[in-house]
Amino acid sequence: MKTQEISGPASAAPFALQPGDPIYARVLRVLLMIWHAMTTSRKVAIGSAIVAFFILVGLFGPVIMNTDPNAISTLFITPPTAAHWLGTTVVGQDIFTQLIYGTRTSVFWGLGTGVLVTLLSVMVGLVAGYFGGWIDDVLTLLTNVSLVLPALPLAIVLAAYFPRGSLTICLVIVFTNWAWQARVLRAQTLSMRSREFVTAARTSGEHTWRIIFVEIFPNEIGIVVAGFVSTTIYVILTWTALEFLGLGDRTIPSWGSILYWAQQAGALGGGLWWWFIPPGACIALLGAGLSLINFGIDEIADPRLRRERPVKVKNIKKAVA
Amino acid sequence: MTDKQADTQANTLLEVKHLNVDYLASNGTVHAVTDVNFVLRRGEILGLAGESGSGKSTLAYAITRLLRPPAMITSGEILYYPRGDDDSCDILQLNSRQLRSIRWNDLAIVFQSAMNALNPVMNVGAQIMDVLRAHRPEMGPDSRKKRAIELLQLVGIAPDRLRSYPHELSGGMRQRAIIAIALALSPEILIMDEPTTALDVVVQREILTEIIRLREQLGFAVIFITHDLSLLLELADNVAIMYAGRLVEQASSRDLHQHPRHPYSYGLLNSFPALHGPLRRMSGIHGSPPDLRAVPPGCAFHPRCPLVFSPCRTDLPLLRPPVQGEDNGRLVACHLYDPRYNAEPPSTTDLARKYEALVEGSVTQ
Amino acid sequence: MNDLDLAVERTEVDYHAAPILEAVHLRKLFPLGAMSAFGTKQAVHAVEDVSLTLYPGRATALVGESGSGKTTVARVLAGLYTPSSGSIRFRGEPAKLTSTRLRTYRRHVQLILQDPFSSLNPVHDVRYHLARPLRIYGHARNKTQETENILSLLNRVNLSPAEQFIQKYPHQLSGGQRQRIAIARALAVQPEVLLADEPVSMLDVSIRLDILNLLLRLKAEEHLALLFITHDIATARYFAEDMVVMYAGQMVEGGPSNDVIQQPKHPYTQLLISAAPDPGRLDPDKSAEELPARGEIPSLIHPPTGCRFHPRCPHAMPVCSQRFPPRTELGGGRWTHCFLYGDGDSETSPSA
Repeated sequence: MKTQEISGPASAAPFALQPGDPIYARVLRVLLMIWHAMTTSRKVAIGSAIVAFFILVGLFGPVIMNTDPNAISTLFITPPTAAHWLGTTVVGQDIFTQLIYGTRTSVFWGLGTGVLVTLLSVMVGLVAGYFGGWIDDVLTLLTNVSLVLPALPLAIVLAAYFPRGSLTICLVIVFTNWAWQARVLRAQTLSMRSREFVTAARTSGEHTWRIIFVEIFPNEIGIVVAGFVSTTIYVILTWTALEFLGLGDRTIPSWGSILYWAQQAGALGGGLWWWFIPPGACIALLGAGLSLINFGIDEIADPRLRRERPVKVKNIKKAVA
Repeated sequence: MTDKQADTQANTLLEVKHLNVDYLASNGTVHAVTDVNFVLRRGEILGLAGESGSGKSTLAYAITRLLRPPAMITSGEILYYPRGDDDSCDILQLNSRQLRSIRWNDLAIVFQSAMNALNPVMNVGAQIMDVLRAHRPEMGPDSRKKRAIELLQLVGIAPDRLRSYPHELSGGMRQRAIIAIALALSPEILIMDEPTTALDVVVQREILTEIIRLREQLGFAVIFITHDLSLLLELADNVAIMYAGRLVEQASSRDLHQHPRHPYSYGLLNSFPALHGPLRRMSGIHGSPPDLRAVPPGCAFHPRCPLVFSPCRTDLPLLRPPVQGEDNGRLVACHLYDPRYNAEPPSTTDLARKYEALVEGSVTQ
Repeated sequence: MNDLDLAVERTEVDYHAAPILEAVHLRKLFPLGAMSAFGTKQAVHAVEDVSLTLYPGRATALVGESGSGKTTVARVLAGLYTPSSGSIRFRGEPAKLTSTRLRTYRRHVQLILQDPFSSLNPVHDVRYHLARPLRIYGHARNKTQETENILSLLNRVNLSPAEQFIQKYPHQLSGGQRQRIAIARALAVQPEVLLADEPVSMLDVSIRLDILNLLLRLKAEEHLALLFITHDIATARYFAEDMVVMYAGQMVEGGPSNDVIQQPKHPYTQLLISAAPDPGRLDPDKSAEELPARGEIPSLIHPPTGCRFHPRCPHAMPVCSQRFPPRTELGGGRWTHCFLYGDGDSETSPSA
């Protein structure tokens, strides 16, 4: 017998996805949920604004600029001016143009790789956690091996071995980064599997795949989203690191490749600050934005982290210890 | 069993007057306990019954002042009459030092999940001696150990269990150990909040027998809180029934069992199938307990009551004797027994017939 | 309170009726990961040699304390666990519980779980919970049919107005309403056998009988065979025609519920009944009553040999620790596993 002193239906987490009937209602609910999260937590609001800014720049920046980011001019190594807001490179390329085009490359490959990493870890985590037995043994072994291997050195070795290109880096990062989140989801699925609603679905004859992805997965969506955000931060950093080492496609401007060329030209020693500070600042800012979203999600998921709003009470005769 | 008029004042141990407890929530204030009055006599076992959300646990916590915000005692008095002392003290007015001394020494509480509250890395003896060390600093280590062994024997645990860790004890043994700790300082009042709910029937019966035996031996009073009315009727001298934060009926166990007056009491009694006697269809009570943020006006039970009539929906019934001139401590809060509203109070059979009518056409909201 | 003539109607005992579901010598071990010192694999001996028969239109109660194995029996019968040995027969045919045939079996046998607060998925609404079994078993082929069927299911479990419940989520429902949804989900499959694992123990006391009465009505209307798992022997008498008492994984006694309670034969059944709360027992010297035995259910990793109740039994004999007593028929459909009543090992027969 559960004794709840405050009666009334227990309210579920306000951000559980609730796929109800008509599609538009579902979409509306998701939008409302995002809006609610953004308005209740200042961290989520600021974080989302930063991320949204970079996505918008990545989407529309190049369309508005509409110039070749690699175009060479005779204005070598110019500090920021009215014509070249962020100055030029050793071969006279406009750094602002490169940065805008680079934002598109970095943000979209970063987010895309984050999605792929999340997809793989969801598959591995849910399957291992739900099935158990030898499937779990094999997948857990793979996960643990992958966790033990140092991710960045391995990524460098692999990226250097395979043909150079963005797709290679993307796959290398997916391959080296899926394990952490898979492990978290496996543990969560393991506990979900013993919930009564899963037993109930099994007794009503539900298909295994439906149990995994329609019964269990929606209950883990919060963890998946939080995992996606933190993975994406790491993915963007790794991506930049590999490009900085010259393992990416150096001909396409991205934050990493701008830094690579700056390094090649000795910009750091030569005091060409306008060349390496802007891409570095962009990386830091996007990382901060994503982290803020993550902190916000943590707070929403765990009310203990939320700051208590003082309850205004009148006529209380006795405060209780 | 039931105390007669003679011992009115001298035997009073605890008197709760107009106690109100609210939970302050962002979406409305929950009135968990509203205007509760009762008297606990020395050596009495008072049963407090009600469904979940009736406020019975909140009431217990309020008496011990263990409520934490957002729960607030908004008004009322809890008068405690120490033995051999004519003066009473209001527990709600005590400062934290006085409160500390009154808890354990005079007032001990056994919680619902208390048996899981034992410290897993300390043996049982050490946990009992800890309480003694904290509250009886004048006791030496030897006398503390002696007392611990004595307490374990008191609750039926062999003294060689002194060095046992909680995980080495069964659920029933752990609950006994908790009772031993509660009794360590010989309190006057033992408050037990669903102490046997997590236990199997056989162990539950053993613990209850133990409580009755210890009460006779040591003379403490018990406030026993449970949702299991059939258990309470066997155990308690007097029973108070709570619904939506208010007491709706008070009577001796025997009177309540034979003639429940409040339709809710009848319904609750009628929710426990009998072990013996003819089998008959029973109905329980339709609907669910109210949301305490929005308690129905008038009598809170009226939406579920099969005997509802017009004043129930508007006027709040107060506790009063159900039969004029009868002085057996019986109180009921129901307009059916108020001559101003209803000239002829219903008999138990009338209540039964109304509930019986519900059995077949069982429709719920 | 006895002057009511509202007796519980009981299905006439007809042991010639064809049984619908039979458990034959079921045994279930749960192997433990750890090895013992001798290198043998340890196991929890949850259920030893349980045989049960369910008849259409009749309810059988499986009564026991925690650790008695009653829930394991229900889950084996629901096809959630495979029995370590023994078999399940459905309509006289051995039921095949391999993964491919399991769905055919579940078409006939459904389970209602104990905790309505966790047996419904918080992310899905009532429609989803009821639509899935309808779709899986082909009882609804399109959306209109589905809605129609869901509304009729909701009405059958007394959730009205049904139109309002169809879109609700579990957190918007009370415990009793959730359990009604869980019952409706089981009914959606259109089963012949309903296994109810403590269906009311998590609910508020005042609404428990409502749910039990609903199950009784459905039993009568649909001629369902019901297995009712409970720890409360008084409720078992109210609900079920027949009763089987289990202790530590073994069956100890069975027969018509009322007879078992009025005249318990096995010492454990006697203990269980004397421990059950009973306000009818109210008399001045209520504390005088002593329990015939003490203690709790033993560990099932190394259970006592023979009759598992013998360490606690006031009538234990040497033979009790040597072997498990065979089933002794006591007449009138009653039986027990106790040497006090069979095998000529004892002339004494303790009164209830």
